[in-house]
Amino acid sequence: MDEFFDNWTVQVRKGLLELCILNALADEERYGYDLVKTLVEDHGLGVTEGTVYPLLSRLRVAGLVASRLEESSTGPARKYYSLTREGIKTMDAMNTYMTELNRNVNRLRKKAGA
Amino acid sequence: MIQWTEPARRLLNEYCARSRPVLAGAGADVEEVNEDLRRHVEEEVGHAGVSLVTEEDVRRILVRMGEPPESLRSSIAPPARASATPGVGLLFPGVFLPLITFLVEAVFAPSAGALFDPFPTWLHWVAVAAVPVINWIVWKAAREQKAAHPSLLAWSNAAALGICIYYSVMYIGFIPYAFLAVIFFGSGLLPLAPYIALGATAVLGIRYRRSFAPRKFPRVWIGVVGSIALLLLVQFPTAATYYGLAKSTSEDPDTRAHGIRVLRWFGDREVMLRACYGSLRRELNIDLIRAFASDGRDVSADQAREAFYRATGRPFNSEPPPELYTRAGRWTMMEDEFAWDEGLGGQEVAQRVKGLSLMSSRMDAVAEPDAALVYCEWIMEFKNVSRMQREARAQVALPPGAVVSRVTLWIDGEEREAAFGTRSQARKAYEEVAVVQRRDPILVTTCGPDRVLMQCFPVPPNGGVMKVKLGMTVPLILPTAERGQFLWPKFIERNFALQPGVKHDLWIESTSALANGISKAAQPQSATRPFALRAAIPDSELSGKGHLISVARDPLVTEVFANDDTGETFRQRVQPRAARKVKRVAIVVDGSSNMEPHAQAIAAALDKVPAELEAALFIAGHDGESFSETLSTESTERQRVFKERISRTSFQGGQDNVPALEAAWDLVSQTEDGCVLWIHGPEPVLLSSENGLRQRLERNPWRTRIIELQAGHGPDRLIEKLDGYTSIERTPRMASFSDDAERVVDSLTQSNSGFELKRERTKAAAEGRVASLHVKRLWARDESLRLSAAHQQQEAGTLAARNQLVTPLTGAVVLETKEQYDRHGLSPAEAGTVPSVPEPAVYTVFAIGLFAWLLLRRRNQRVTSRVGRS
Repeated sequence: MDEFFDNWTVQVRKGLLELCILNALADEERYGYDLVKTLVEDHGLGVTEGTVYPLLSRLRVAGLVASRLEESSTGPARKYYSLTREGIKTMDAMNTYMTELNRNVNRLRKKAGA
Repeated sequence: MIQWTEPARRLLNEYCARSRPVLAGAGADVEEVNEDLRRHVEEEVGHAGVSLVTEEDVRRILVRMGEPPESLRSSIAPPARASATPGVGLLFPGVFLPLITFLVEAVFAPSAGALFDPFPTWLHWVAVAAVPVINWIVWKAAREQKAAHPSLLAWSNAAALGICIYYSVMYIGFIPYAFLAVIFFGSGLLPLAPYIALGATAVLGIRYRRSFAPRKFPRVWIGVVGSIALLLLVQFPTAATYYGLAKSTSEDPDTRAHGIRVLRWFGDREVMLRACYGSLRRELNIDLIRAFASDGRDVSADQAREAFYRATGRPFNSEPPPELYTRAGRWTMMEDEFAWDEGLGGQEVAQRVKGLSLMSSRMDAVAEPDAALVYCEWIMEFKNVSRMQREARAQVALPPGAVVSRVTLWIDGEEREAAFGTRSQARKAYEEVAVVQRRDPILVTTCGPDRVLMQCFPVPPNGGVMKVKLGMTVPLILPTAERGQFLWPKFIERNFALQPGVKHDLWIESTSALANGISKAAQPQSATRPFALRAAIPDSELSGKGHLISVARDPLVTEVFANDDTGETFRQRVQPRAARKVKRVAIVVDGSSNMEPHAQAIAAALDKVPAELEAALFIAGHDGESFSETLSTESTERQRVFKERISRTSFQGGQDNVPALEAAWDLVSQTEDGCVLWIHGPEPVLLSSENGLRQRLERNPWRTRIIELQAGHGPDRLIEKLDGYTSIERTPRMASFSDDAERVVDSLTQSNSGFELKRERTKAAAEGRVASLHVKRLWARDESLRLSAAHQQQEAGTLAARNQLVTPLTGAVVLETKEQYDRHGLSPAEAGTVPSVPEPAVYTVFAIGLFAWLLLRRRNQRVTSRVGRS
């Protein structure tokens, strides 16, 4: 049971992480370290930096996210991420899909009396 | 400053290396993620406030960060466009095709030969060669996601994109033909190379930038615009030349002058020469730059030649032909072999032909001091190393007053004498035999006062040799009765080169003492030829200031005669030159650039215009406009004005002298005591019609003269056109230009201006010494010119032809067979009737002269010894 659940949560998180990243960038451009820390710590998504950075890179390669470097006087150059126009469109589509999915899941749960 | 221990750094590196396979499988940018992870660790370290990072610190951070999970591998596949790695398929359109195109064009020049030159400057060569190189480096860097100088490479990619765009536009007119060629013949990919390479370069640029994201790269359009702008900038002189050439052919004088100014300031000599040599015509519809710059106006070779002269002041054929189509040696060699000689059979020397050269040159002259004449033979050998038959053409400056009296061609080792006929008769025979039948003739006709045009065809190909001889009868110039002066003939213009080391071998002999202006001349002496001079001098020296030979003569011999076989006697007298009184002179100074070095000498000579003369100064210049002065007699003020005019003149390009000459003539020709003094440089292109001057010379009640003095060496088309007019007096060049200019100014008023020779035909018994038949030939020349001036052309031509002379009305032609002569109504000169070195009769004259000289010497010795005794 535990093993099955663990696998399932991994699968669910895997699908949702990209949506979370896109939504975290929806309102503003964000500094990479800060963005990762937010995702890792605040929302309790149960992911590590080692997972988030590859996903960010993949989103950038896919053209959904753009990044830029800015020199910092206090440490290494800071990398800022923002959504591209295509990223916004994709995020909207994903959110719509997610809402629909949630509604269907909830409807099924209601029918089952859960 | 945070310090890292080596184990700490090694641990981080190992972490990154371990992550690579997972990251690559997840569709992430491996380098980017590793960089992000390193940056993240550094931030963590910074936040922790440690100054020395140990292995333990790094391990703690990495444990918390976790390694990229294997589950990422099976995550959602990245979109297809996410791939940053360029495929091998991009190598053909991006690297190999542009490279092949460049090499083919560089070696075989198909585009330059058929369309237009895609490499007009060295930068174009570099630019086109750079495209495959840049694309290769970009491709490699994008695949390996590694570059030594990523930004520089991004700039290079943008520049390559610009180069492709530039050439895509240049070849746009050829696209339909290329597609048709591809469709119907399966070839023609090369003209499409710029378009294919353009696409490949753009794709490579995108992939490259993605590979190095998130690195910030320069904006592409800056590099694109920059490279295009650079290519256009270096091509500006070419475009300006097309523009200037087109404008210079305008009907509107202002536009024409504007075009010439543009050519002077920005003109590209190579492009101008290409136009002069007629290699631009094919390019007009294809070469966009030329089409835009010249506004679609085509410029013929003749128009370009005129523009070249106006802009530079130099004849186009004074410079070697451009390396047509391409600077690649191989193509130039092909041009060498197959270049067509446009001037073949024509009446102009035209451009140099490749492969043809003068192999040897020899001049033998015999002086007759008593008769004040020299007979000179010039033997030339031409060699043709090209694969085509060539015509050797040259304009030869004869000594003043000379006439060509013998023309010989060697055919199969035998000398063939020329036939003398009317000018049109001789030319027609030559053109038919030379140009049509391509057999062995030579034609000699006059092309101005004291100058002839010699044409020999064909000089056989593949090292073939042609040998010709010109004989000329030359009257001596007599500044005093004791001394005659002889100038060697020389080339004015030629269409052949001189073989390295070729010199003119000169030899002159006489019965009296000779002095020379020849440096390093040897003076051989023998019993039979008591006085002789020999020298070997290069053409540059002979063509430069000229070489003067002084021939001593007995001043007491004032009359000689020659009898011909018909019993006629021809008498020649030496008498003081009858000075023509000049009261007014209009001085015309050529404003061409080649006169600039002589400006000071001209100003100095003008200072010496005698005070008693009315004088005016005209400067032929400023693109058709002339400064002009009214006649002035106030000598001090006049000298100041003249000097100022000369110093203010900006000698530029090639100027038209005709308007200034006409105006000058009109100013002084109202009375019998006026003359025009024309000081000019070579004018290799006739810039306006000479008909106005012709009319003035023909309707010339006061026999107004034009005394001309030429500075510098070269052809003058206006002089050529005024062939046969006795009112044109040439000033022989015997010293430096400044000396000759002062001499001619002095001669305007000097009552004693040397001696002249008067010849007549008489039946009366002649007194004096016997001379050779050259006296008769010179009489016939003078008489023919006189008859011609009196509009008795028929008689003048017949007389000259009968005496075997080349005059403005007659020509000499050597043909190959009797049938050819018969068909053209000509008969070659018989062996006994042609002059030779020495003329048979000259031996007698030599003997008499030598005897007289010995007698005179003996008498002088007696007188001296008597004086000594007394």
